[in-house]
Amino acid sequence: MAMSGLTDLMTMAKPNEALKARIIALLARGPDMCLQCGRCTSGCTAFRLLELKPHEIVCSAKMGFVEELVSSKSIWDCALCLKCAERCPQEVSPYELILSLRNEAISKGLEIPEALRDILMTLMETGLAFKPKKAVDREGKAYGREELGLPALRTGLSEQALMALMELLGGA
Amino acid sequence: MPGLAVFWGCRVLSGDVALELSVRKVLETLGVDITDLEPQSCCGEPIRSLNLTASCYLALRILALSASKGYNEVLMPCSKGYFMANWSLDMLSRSGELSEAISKAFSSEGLSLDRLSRPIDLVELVYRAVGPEGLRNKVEKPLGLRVALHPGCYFMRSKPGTGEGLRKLAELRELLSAVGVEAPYYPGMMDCCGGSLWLTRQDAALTLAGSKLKAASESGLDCLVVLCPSCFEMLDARQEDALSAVGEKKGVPVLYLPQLLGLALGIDPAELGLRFNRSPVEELSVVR
Amino acid sequence: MGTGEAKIGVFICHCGLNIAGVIDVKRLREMASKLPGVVVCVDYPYMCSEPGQELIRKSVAEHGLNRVVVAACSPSMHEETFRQVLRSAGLNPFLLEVANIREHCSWPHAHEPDKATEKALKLIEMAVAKARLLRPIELKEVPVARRALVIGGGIAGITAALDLAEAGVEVYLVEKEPSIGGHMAQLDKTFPTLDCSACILTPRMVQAARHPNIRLLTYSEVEEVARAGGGFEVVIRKKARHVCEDRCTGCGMCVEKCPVEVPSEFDQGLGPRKAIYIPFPQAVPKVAVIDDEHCIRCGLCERVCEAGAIDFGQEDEFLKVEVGAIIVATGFEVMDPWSLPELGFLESPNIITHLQLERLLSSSGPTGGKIIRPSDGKEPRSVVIVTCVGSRDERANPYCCRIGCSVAVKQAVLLKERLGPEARIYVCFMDLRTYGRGLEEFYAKARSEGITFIRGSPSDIEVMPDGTIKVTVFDQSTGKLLEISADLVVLIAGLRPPGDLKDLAAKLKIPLGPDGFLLEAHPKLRPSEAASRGIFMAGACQGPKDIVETVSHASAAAAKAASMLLKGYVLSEPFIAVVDEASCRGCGRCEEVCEFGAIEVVEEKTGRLVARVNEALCMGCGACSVRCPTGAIKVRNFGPEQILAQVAVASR
Repeated sequence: MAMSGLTDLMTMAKPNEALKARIIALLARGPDMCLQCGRCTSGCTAFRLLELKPHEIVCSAKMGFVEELVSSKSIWDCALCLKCAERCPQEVSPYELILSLRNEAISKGLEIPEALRDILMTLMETGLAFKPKKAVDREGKAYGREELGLPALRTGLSEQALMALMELLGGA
Repeated sequence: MPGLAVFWGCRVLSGDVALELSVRKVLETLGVDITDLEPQSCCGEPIRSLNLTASCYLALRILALSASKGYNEVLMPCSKGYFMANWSLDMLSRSGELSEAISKAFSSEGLSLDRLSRPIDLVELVYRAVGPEGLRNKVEKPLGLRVALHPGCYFMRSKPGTGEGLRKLAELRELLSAVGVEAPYYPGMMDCCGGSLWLTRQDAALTLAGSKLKAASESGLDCLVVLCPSCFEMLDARQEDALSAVGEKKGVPVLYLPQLLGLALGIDPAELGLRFNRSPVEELSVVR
Repeated sequence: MGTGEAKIGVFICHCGLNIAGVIDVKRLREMASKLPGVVVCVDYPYMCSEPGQELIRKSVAEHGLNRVVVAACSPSMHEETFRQVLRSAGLNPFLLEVANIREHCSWPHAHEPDKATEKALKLIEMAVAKARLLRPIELKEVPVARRALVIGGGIAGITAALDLAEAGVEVYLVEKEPSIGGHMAQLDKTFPTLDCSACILTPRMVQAARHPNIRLLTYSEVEEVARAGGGFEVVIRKKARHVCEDRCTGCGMCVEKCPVEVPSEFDQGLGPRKAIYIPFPQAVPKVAVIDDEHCIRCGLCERVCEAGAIDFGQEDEFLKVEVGAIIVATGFEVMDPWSLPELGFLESPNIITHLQLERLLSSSGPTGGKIIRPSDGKEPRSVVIVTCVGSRDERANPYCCRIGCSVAVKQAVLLKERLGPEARIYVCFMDLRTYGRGLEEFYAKARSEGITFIRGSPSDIEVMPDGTIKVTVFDQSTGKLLEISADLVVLIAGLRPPGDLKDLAAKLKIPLGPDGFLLEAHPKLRPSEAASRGIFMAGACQGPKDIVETVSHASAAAAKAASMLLKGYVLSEPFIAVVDEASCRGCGRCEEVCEFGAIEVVEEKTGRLVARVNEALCMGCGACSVRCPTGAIKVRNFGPEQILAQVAVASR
C-alpha cells in the first residue's frame, strides 16, 4: 500500500499527528487556525538576535512536523514577551506552542537549561523559585526584613501541595 | 476580615525589597489596608517551560488559598504573578482535563476551583481606591517629570488580544498625570526588556535590556519607570552589564512606579527603598 | 371534515440516496399504505422534479384525493413547490402536509437505518393524522401602496430609488446626513478604471433629487416603523437644519463668515468645517445646515444670507408615510484602528486610514488633492500601505472586508502617480486578491509601475522623534526582516456595520447576522431580501461590497420590491389566528400578549365585546391562542386538535 501524506524531502521526515495532538492539547486555538500571515515573526523580540521565527514553528507544527521542533534549539530562543499572542489575528498564541514543545523536550529528557534545573530544585526545597535572600543596597550592605521594618513572612508549599506538584510534574 | 490579600512573589522575597517597601508605604498613605497572604509560594511563572499544567496549578493555588481565607480579591504587584493568575484562569476554560487535574491536586488541601479570588494589580487598585482625583488631592509636590514609562510585556499583555492593555495603560497615565508626571510615547516603549529570556539566553537578554536603556536615554525623558520586578532586575540591577552589551556608557535612573507615586505623595525617599535601586536615581532632583 | 371523508395520498420521495440510502423506502411505502385514510401510497426518486410533481397531479385526479402527504425533505425546501402542485391539481394548497424524513430522519440517523425507517413511518403517520384534520385556507389579497421607503442615500440607496422610480413606484429616499452620496462621494477614483468617483456619482445624485417619483428627505431619520395593512406606516423625523431648503441658494456666504471651526466628518478629521456648512461641493441638496452642537448663535450667517434662509427657530418635523415596501441601504462604517494593541499607543498624525487617504487624494478634500503629511504639510517620499488592519482578525472583525486588496492596489497606483517616480510605495499584505473584471490586470499594472509588494504583516510600527515612521515586517518571500522608513502609513482599516444599525433593525424587527450586518433571507438565493415580508436590503448593510456589487445588489432589491408593489397586493398569511366568536368573552388577554398589534377587542353594536384579528398584521405566532382562557382562538391548521392528533401518534 502506498504511503500517503507529506514527506519533507530535505530530511525525509514525516508528520507525527499523534505527537502534534498531544502537544496542542492545552492550546486555546491551535496552529491549525494559523493564517500564515507572518505577523508574529515581524514583531518577534527574539528574531533579530536569535533568528527565532515563530510563524515557521507554528506552520511546521500545523503540518505535523513536531519531532524536529521538540529537539530544536530555537524553541529555547523565545523571550516569552507575548507580543505574538497579542497581535495574532487568529489568536494562535505561538509562544504557548513553544512552551508546550519545551515541556515535551524536557519530559523526553532532551534538554533542561541549568537555570531551570536550579529553579526546580529551589522550588521543591523552599516552595519559591528563588531562594529568599537579604536585600543588598547599592553600597553592598545587606539588610534583613526586620531591619527594614518589613514583617516576617511565612513561605513555602505545604506537604500536600508538594506532593500534588510532584504528581503533576511526574505525570507529564 | 481586614484589608486586601497581597501576594508578593518570589522575586520580591528574594531581595527585591524596593517594590515591597514602596507598595506598602504608598498604600498606607492612601489608606488602603493590606494583609499578607501566608504562606507565600511560587506563582509558577518560571516553570512554565517545564510543565504548563504544574505552573497553572501553582498560580491557581494562590487564588484558591486566598479565597479560602475569605478574600474576594488578591493584589499581585508583580506583573508576572498577575499575568499567571489571569492566564491560568483562561487555561481552565480551555480544557476539562486540566480542570480535573487541578481539582484533584486541590482536593488534598480542601481547596476548590469554585472558590477563587480575583487577581488585581497595583494600577487597578490605586485607580479604584482613590482614582486620579483622589491622588491629585493627596499630592504634596507635583513631580513635573517626563518619564520613559516601561509598562512591560506582562502588564500590557496580561490578557492578550483583548485590548485590556491599552485600557490599563490609559488608566496608568491618568494616575501619573495626577501626580504631575507625563509618560509620553517614545520609540521602544513597548519593547521587551529580556526578563523572560534570561532563563535560556543570557547574552541576548542583556542586549534587549541594553536596547531598552538606550531607547530611554535617546528619548530625552527624565527616567525609566517600571512596574515589574523582572524588568527592574534587568534594567536596574543588571544595568551595568546591559549597557556594556550594547556599548553604551550613560546610566539611566530606573524607578518603580510605586516609588514614583510615593515621591509625589511626599513620602521620604528612604522609606521607598531607593537605596536599593542600583541605577543612578540620585540624578533625579526629586530623589535628592 | 368539510369535504367528506378523507382520501389521503402519501408520496414518498427517495431524494436520490439522501433518503433512500438510509431508509428502506419500499418497506416504508408498504407500511404507510396501510394507514387509515390512505387511499394511495407511492414512492419516487425525486418528488420535486417535473415527473414527480406530475405523479402527484395524476394521483389526485385518478383517486379523487382530497388530502396530500409528501414525505421528503424539509418543508422549508419544497413545501411551496408542492403547494403549487396541489393548486394545479385543483386542490386547496393548504390541504398538504409535509413529513420531513430527510433533515429530521435519514440525515441525523444515517447510522441506524432500521430505526430511521421506523421513525420515518411514525413521521408519516403523524402527518397523515394531521392531514385528515386540515381545512382549506383561502388567502386574501391585501392591497399595498405603490410606494417604497429607501433608508440610506449612498450609491445603494440612490440606485434602488432610481430603479423603483423608473418602474413607476413612488419613493421616499431618507438620508441621515445633510447630503446624499454616502461614502462614494468621499472617494477620489474608483478601481479599476480610475474613474473619478464624484463624476460618476453626482449625475445619479442629481437624478435622484429631480425624479418626479422620488421625494428626497435629507438630514432625516426613520423614527418608528409599524406594519399596517399589507405594508408599513413609517414616521420620519426631519431634523432641523435651521436653514430653509426652499430659500437657500447654496452660495456659501454663511459658511465663509461663520467663526466656529470644528473637524470635518466628511474629511475624516483631516480638515475643518464650520458650524454652518455644506458637506461638500457637489452636495445634493446644495443647502447649508447648522450643527446645533457647535453653533454659538452669533447670528453672522443670518446677517449675510441674502436669501433670508436662516431660521434658528426651525424645529424637527415629523412625517407619517404609508409604504408597501422598505429597502434598507444604510451602508458601512470604517473601524477605528486605534483600538488594536499594536497601534493604540502610537501618536502620529501621519498614520491614517484608507478613507482618510481618499480625502487627501480627492481634489475636493482638505488639501485640494495634494498628498501631504498631515503633520507638516510636506510631500511624503515613502508611503507604506498595510492591508487587513482589523480584518480577518478575531480581535476586531473576523470577516474579510472584501474591498481592502483592491483599495490598497488602487491607492498605491494613485500615490505613485501623484508623488512621482522617485516616491517609494510599499504594500504589506497577508494575502492579495484583487478579484473581479479588470482587477487582475490592475494588479499587474501596479507591479509594473515599481510598487513594492511585500507578503508579510507588520507588527511593530514606531514613530521617531523627527516624525519618521518605522514599519518592521518579515517578508515571507525573501525571508528578510525589513524595516521601512516611511513618511506616511496608510492602514486599510476593517469595515463595520454603522453604529445605529442595531436600533434600526430592532425597529424593523429584522435580525442581524453574527457579524452585525443585516441577515438576508437566504445567503445564496435571496441576498437582497429580509425574511420578513416587504423588507429588502441593498448594498453594504448586508455585508461589505465594492461599488459594482453594491449596484447589482441594490437593483436586485428594487426588482424584488417592484415585483411585489406593482402587483398592488400581497397575500395574507395563511396560518393566522382565528377567533371563534361564540366562545370569546372579550377579556382582552390576547390583545395584551400580541406583539404585532394584530388582535384587539372590539365592541359590537349589541354592546358585546369580542376579539377580532387583523388578518394583514397577524404573524401566526400563536401567543394569543395560548393565552386565551376559553380556547376560542386557534391558529389555522395548527390548532389543538391537529397538534394533539400528531402527539397521539408520536406517543404511542
